[in-house]
Amino acid sequence: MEEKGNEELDLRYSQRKEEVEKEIEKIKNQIEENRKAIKKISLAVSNNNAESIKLGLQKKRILDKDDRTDVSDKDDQIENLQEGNKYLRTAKEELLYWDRYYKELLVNKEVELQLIELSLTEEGRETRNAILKSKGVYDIFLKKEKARTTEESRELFKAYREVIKEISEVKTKEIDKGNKDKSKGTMAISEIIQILYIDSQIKKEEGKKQRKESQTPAEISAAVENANKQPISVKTGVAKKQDKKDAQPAPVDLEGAKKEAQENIDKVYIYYDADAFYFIRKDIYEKVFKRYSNSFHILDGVEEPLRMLKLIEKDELFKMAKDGELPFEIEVIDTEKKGKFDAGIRLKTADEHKRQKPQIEPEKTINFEEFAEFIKQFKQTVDQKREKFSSTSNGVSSSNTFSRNYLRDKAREYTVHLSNSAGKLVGKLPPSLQHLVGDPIKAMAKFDFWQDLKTRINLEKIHNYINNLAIDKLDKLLDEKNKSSFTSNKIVRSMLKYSRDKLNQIGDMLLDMMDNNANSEEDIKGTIKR
Amino acid sequence: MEDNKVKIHQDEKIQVEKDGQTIDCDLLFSFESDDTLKTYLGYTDNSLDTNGRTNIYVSAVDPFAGDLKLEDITDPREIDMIREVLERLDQEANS
Repeated sequence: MEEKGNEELDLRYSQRKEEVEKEIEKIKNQIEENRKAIKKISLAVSNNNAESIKLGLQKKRILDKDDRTDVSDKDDQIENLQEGNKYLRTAKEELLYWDRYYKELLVNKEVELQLIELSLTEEGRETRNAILKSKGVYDIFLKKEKARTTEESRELFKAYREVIKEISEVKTKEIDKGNKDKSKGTMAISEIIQILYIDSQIKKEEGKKQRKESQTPAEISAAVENANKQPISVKTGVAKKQDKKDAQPAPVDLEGAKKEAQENIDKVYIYYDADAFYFIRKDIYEKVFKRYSNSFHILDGVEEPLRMLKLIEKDELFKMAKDGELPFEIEVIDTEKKGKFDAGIRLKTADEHKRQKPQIEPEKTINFEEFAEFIKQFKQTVDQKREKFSSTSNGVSSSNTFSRNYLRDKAREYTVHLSNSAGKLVGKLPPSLQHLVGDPIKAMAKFDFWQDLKTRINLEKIHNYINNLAIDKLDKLLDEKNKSSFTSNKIVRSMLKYSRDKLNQIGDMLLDMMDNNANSEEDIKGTIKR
Repeated sequence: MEDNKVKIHQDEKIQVEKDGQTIDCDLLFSFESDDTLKTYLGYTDNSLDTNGRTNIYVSAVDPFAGDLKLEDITDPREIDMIREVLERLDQEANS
């Protein structure tokens, strides 16, 4: 019976070994495909950036001639290129997720293969015999649900190898004591086998689920390929102003994705940065952005990871827009054209947004509306200020210290460069520029319009919003994530914690303002600085 | 329109990352514009152009963008504004 059991296991392991080897080969190919696609995207982004710089220089040359030539088409082209980059970066992020997933899967498969190979050795067979003799040992370990992470699998595999080695040594040196030591090995091996089985099943299920929810890397590669073929926005960015509506950046239209998109498009998340609201389709959020701490950098470029405001039914959102309950307009973006990476709807730009403030029914969405109003006013004020900006009177005044200390003594003759100095401020900034570091809300305090803005918003309601809605939401997400031990959730957890802390800071700041009855601009600035 | 106060920086340094390289620069002046809601920085790496004149760079920082990217100044209105600032400084230097 023992021999028969061994033969069956040999056959099963041999078959499995072949399967695993094929799977490993496939995974490696997939990783390589991903790598190529990622490289291709990086190149496309880089090309877009180069094109943007080129257009910027062309624009500068035109402006330098001072012939009043309209350069707005250059701005449009640059904008299109940058918009295209957003989509390319989203695709890249998705591919990077798959890259991590496949690499993790590869490690697991390699561990499984080595286990099978070890099980087919003489020592392995003997251990299996011991397992067969230990009736019920599988039942015990079936109940153990652990070792779900690659790291734990690796550790167990290491332990397993040590046990095998130990058995081998014992067998050679002290044959008589073999049975005793084998039983030790038996426990470890059976546990590992079971754990790995559970682990592989989990991975398998996750893989199935994620494949179902998401695009495969091959689909993304195809999409990127398609995107690269689009002359507008990705490579040449030559869309003219009147064509802007049709100049969709990097279309990612995929077979199969369309159906999924339709099924999942009914809910959206709303989040914001200093300038605008953004909407993100629930499935896209769940599938891509929720996984990474730097997710939202892709979309808004702001150094803040997660600023989710509210999950809302899309139909409800449209109804609110239709009924004039939203303080801004929305427009539907053709998801067939833009593909599944797009949120489906977006906030209209300031130029498009001309309507009057609608009446809001507070009992319906009071917190959200108040906060929306705050952001809207902020955005509008910024836009208005910038629109108002004119060259006719700039009224700049200065002290003369600069001249004495630099121009006269050090550089009587100098050349000023205004448009080839783009870069990034790095390192420690001098104290006089410290206000530039950190949240835009801090930077806001530098400008006079803050006081006007403050008088028009209800700080208490904003604070309530942050406390009652956003933080609660994050807490719930955190609770969910804390229950799971999947590796990627660690990243999500840290992201959520960061977001929560950030919201708490804003909440405290607003509370301070209320407590201090901050009426003057200086009060507010002082509060913010604190 | 309100005046924009130019702040003069003495012995203050900034580091600018450009084309993957970090360059140490002397910060010369800065001012915030309530019109554009941006902060403008004037700085130099003390390099000389082909005519032997010192290169001075002026860039904008948009505090609402959330990062510290130095923006080119390409808007003709902004160019005019910067020009005026520099002309004032130049006049004062020679007065």
